[in-house]
Amino acid sequence: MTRSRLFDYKTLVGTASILCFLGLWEILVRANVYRFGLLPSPLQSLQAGLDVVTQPSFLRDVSYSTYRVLLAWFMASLVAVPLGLFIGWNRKIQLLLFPALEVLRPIPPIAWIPASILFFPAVEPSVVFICFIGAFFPILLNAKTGVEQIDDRYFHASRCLGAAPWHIFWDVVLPGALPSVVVGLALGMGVAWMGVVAAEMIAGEFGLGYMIWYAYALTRYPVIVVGMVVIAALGFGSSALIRIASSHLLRWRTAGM
Amino acid sequence: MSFSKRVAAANSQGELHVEHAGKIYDPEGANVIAVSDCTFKVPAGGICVVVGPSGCGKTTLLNTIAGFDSLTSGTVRLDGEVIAGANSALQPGPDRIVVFQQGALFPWKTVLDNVTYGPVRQKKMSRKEAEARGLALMDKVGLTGIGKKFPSDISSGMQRRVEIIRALINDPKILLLDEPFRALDALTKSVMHEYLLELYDLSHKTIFFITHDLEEAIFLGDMVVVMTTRPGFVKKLINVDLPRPRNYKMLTSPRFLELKREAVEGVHEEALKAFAAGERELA
Amino acid sequence: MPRLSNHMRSLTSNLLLQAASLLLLVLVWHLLIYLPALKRLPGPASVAKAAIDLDLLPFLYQALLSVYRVTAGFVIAAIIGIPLGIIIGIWQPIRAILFPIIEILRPIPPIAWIPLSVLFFVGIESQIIFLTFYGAFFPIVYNTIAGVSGIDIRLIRAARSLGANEWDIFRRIVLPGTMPHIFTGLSVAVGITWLMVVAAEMIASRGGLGYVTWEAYTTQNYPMIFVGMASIGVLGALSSIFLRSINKRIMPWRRRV
Repeated sequence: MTRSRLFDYKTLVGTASILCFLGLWEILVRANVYRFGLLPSPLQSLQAGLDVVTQPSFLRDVSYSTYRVLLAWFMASLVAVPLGLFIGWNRKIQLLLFPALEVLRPIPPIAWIPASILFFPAVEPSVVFICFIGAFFPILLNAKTGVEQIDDRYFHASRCLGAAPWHIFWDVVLPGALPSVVVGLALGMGVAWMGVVAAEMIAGEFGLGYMIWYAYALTRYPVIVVGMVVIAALGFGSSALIRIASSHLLRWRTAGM
Repeated sequence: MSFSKRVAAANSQGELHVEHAGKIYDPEGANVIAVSDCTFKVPAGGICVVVGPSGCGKTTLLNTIAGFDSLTSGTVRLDGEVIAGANSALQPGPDRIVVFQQGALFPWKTVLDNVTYGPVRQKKMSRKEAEARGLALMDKVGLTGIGKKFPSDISSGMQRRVEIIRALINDPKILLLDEPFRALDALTKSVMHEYLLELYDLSHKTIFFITHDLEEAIFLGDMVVVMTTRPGFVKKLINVDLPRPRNYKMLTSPRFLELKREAVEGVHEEALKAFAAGERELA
Repeated sequence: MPRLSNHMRSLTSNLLLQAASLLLLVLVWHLLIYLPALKRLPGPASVAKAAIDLDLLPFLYQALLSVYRVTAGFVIAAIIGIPLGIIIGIWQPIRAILFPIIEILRPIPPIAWIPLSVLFFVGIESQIIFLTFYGAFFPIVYNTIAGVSGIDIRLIRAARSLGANEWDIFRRIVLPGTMPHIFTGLSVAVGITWLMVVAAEMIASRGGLGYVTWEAYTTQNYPMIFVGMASIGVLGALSSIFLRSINKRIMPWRRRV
């Protein structure tokens, strides 16, 4: 009984606080405090949101962005997960491949945009490439550290019990690193969304980033907020989906709790 | 049954001979002598317990026998074959399986999958056979019905038993136990001893057991090897002539107390030295 | 001494492998330009030449401009974010009020704030610095909160039983205990700040390395694009290294990185 009371208290305060925040924002815009009058207000954005959502261009933009992110994330996972696992597992492979990757890693995905437009004459691949770069490194890094934190004794145990090296990959490396890999996948998804917005703002046609930028150019400012909210929701939702989907595979972690 | 008769009854596999074993570590250029010139022999089917203070090298010795670490001098022979020596390759294998101190059950596999891991991976029997054997062994130590659970679902006493069975199901020549009951409370520990001895009576495997608990050592072992603090060598070799099967009543028998006195005299001095030197386990 | 040379030998072979890794990178890059689809790609040789032929002083000015913007936003975010995070972590009522707002704003990619930032702030510098601030702010606050919440209650109890008062507990247990998490937040923030500054500079076209890179693209000075990217990467890496060295000084008790 106490638990449900606590839950209600928190959500109550939370919702009240958010409403206050929105209210404050609305007042600041209406009253034209400092330069707040130039910004779209919550009510305007809500109105614009309802308008935009019914337009076919909106659905088009959402699908373009979603498609690009998913494709890039999928390809990045396909490459970065095995690569990261092997780099974490085998010292020689790590020394041979990791330094090169570490040199590339500090370059933010956005800095790749001019180069990307250069490599890929078409818009689509160049945007997907940016998202790929964005997702690649978090996934790789988390896979690597996931393997590195596996206690030695599991490797020892499997060798004792007669496992061959390729068995060890499936029996120890992959399951042991899986929690970290999942974190990396969710992170990578988040970064991919950041990348898609940037790439679409600067170089894209269609997509939510493009929609935001276009709204700005046409001084339809409330649509900017709509775009931000939609992107946030999609980014958050996709990361959450990853975690939910992997919870079955990771059920051994919460066993006994 | 007397010790010698038991040895004769066993299939005389798993005789361990440690000769002048030495191990020098080189962390950051300093010469750290972990083990120096250890010699002792464990007959097939016998239980050898090594005791000593922290840092005396007993875990290093176990790791060497298991194949996780190499010696810098001397040899270890199993049934006459050299399994560890200076500059020999590291080859852990199912003939000498380790039960680890903090437990090494795969957390992501169910209990039954853990137990059947060895035979299935080595393709020694089909999955069905392995599961049948595994379940039978589990029944023998009171672990019925937990096959589908994960290791984090069961108590630590159960986990230790599962790990021991996981090793035994592979029919190793020698079973290596690295302070397996260290983290258990005293009551669970004494129950574990009885389970271990029961499994031993059924299988007569050679057992190499390390611990810092003297009573445990004498209760379980046929021979107790007392090691000195770093650099570790064999200070004393105590023959435990208590009859088998052992039971907890022997813990207060006069003979047990005599043996314990002998062991305490050996270890206490070393423990004080180790404490003064602030030793930490190397391996 | 034979043992020493063994140690040395493995060290040199490790270094050789790592060097080989970098050489491999350059080699692959060099070979890529022979692909028909990538024929516009400048090779390592032309990029190196462009770097050598650089007008050093103007370039350094641009680099310092970016560094200034990154540092300003980062420092402001740290000054506001760390105390805020600690307060939220310690006081439940404030947490109940502020945390929901933070959770709602967090999924919005910082880049999506560019249009609003341009609307609200008068000068381009303040627009850019707001963006770098925003990028750094959330990781810092979020990780600080996590750090404060995660302090082992036993440490606090032990201190109380030894007679410590609340201020002592704060200074000697809570603060040092939160440091690792604060540091994680700062490391993540550094990466995002560089991302933001590059994006903002590409769009705003008012100096900085992002601008240099974008301009190289628009003036078809392709090798310069890579010089820009590389400089951004180098500076980003240097910032992380700098941060890590401060971490080692402040937290010597942490053995592992």
